[in-house]
Amino acid sequence: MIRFLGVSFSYRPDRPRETVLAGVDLALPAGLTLVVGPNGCGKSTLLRLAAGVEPPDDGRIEVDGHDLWTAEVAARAGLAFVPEQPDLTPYATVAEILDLVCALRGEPPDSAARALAAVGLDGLAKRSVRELSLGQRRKAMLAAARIGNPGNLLLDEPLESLDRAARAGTLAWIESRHAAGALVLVAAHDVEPFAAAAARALTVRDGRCLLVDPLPGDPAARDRLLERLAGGETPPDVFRLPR
Amino acid sequence: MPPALAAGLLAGLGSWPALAASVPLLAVADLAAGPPRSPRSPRPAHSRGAVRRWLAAWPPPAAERPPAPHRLQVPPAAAASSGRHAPVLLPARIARRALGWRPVRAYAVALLPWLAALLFAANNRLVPLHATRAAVLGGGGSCVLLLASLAGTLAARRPAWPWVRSLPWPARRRVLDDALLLGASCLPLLALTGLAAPAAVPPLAAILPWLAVRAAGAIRRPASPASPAAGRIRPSGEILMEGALLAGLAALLPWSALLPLAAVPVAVRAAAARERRLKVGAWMERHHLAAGDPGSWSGG
Repeated sequence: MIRFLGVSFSYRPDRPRETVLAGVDLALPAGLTLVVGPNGCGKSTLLRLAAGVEPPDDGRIEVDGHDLWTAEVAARAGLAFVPEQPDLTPYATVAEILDLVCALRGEPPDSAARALAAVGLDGLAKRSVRELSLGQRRKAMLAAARIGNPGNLLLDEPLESLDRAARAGTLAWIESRHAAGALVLVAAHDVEPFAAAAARALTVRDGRCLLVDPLPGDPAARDRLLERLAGGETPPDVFRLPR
Repeated sequence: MPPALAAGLLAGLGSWPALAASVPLLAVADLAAGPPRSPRSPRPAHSRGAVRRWLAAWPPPAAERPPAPHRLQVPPAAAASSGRHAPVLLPARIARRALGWRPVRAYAVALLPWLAALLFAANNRLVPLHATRAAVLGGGGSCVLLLASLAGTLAARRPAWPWVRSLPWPARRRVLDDALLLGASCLPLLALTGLAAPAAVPPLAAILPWLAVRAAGAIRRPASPASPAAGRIRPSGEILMEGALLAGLAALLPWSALLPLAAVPVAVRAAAARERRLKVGAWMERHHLAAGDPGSWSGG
């Protein structure tokens, strides 16, 4: 469970008109939640806040009952974040970064090798991020997310830049984590691969989070609604305002 | 006097090349000046300057008596490295790779205050207390210069790594990792100071943890939202101002070094809070070098 309690955030607090989130209250239970919306609406920022990458200006964020900023380790222990931009430091090899993840999550070092093999990067462990293509960097991030089987997955455009086989493998992994009862928060413009499994949809408009929970059971109606939300529409008849 | 004056003027220009050029001028001035004159003891005929005497006496004979405690001396060369390295953690390795060979220049510059203190003590007849004060000031200045240089380089070449903040790696630990690396980098300077004036080591060692933690915090200085065009973040000024003040105070009142030592936990908390508050998404290309920034779209 991830909870936003009165969360406000702006990249430039001196410019109130550029506020991304304003006093958001939100509770996301286990299951797959799709975050959709047009470019720049705040999808990635929402995930970065939930992942503890950005600190909120006001309010609190809890992961599994632990405050993200006062109980840093406990809240992040079961959390994996795959950002849209694979920001791996160029001063370490892929293996070193995954070893760090193993150490921080309390996993044995061979978990890193297994995760790399699962995404098809086992031959590139000794390479720096400088020597990897964009798709390979994303695979490295996905390998890091697999370590320790975290119960809360925050995935920002997880299929972007991946080849066909890697997309299939990533979708299978997400489905397996979903089936295991994990919380999966996916921000995506291409909603089709996730539509069937999604329990709810979330979008950000003018600093507010708008939740559709549950999504329509009829596949055609669900797809139509998700496409409208992804296009920036906010059908008033389907929204339950979380606050 | 003219070379010394020129050295002072050059050093006051504020640029590193001018500061470096002032060093040989200072040595020339010392050679020309010779030892200090005393009305009760006329200048010895064999004395032609402290630097020349050092050069003539180097290396010292093995049976030579240890130097008087109030005189700074050129320390013996460090023992050759055994070639073995202690296991280091990834944060330290990342920082070392980000720094590259820049610490060599940083150490060269950082040695200047220590050298100045050495010359000052060699060219003046100082009571032990004053010699210790000069060593504390020189050694402290060296540590502060080194910390400012390394922290500035780290801030530019190894800015915040956004994704790693989502891992169970607390801000306090990340700050302490940096502080440990920065503090350890100052140990050779501390050893040099100790070889010359052992009494200078305790006050310096007492202020070093505070300085290292403050430098780790200065790396995390956020970009000012009010003036984003202010330029690249430079933590050096923050460290230099605070460090110079502390080193001066420790030189005058050695017991005062206990205050920053006792306040280290407060500094750690402040630096960790700064690390948590950092808006990593607000870091822009113009604030730092793109090289080494995992979030950069032109670096890496």
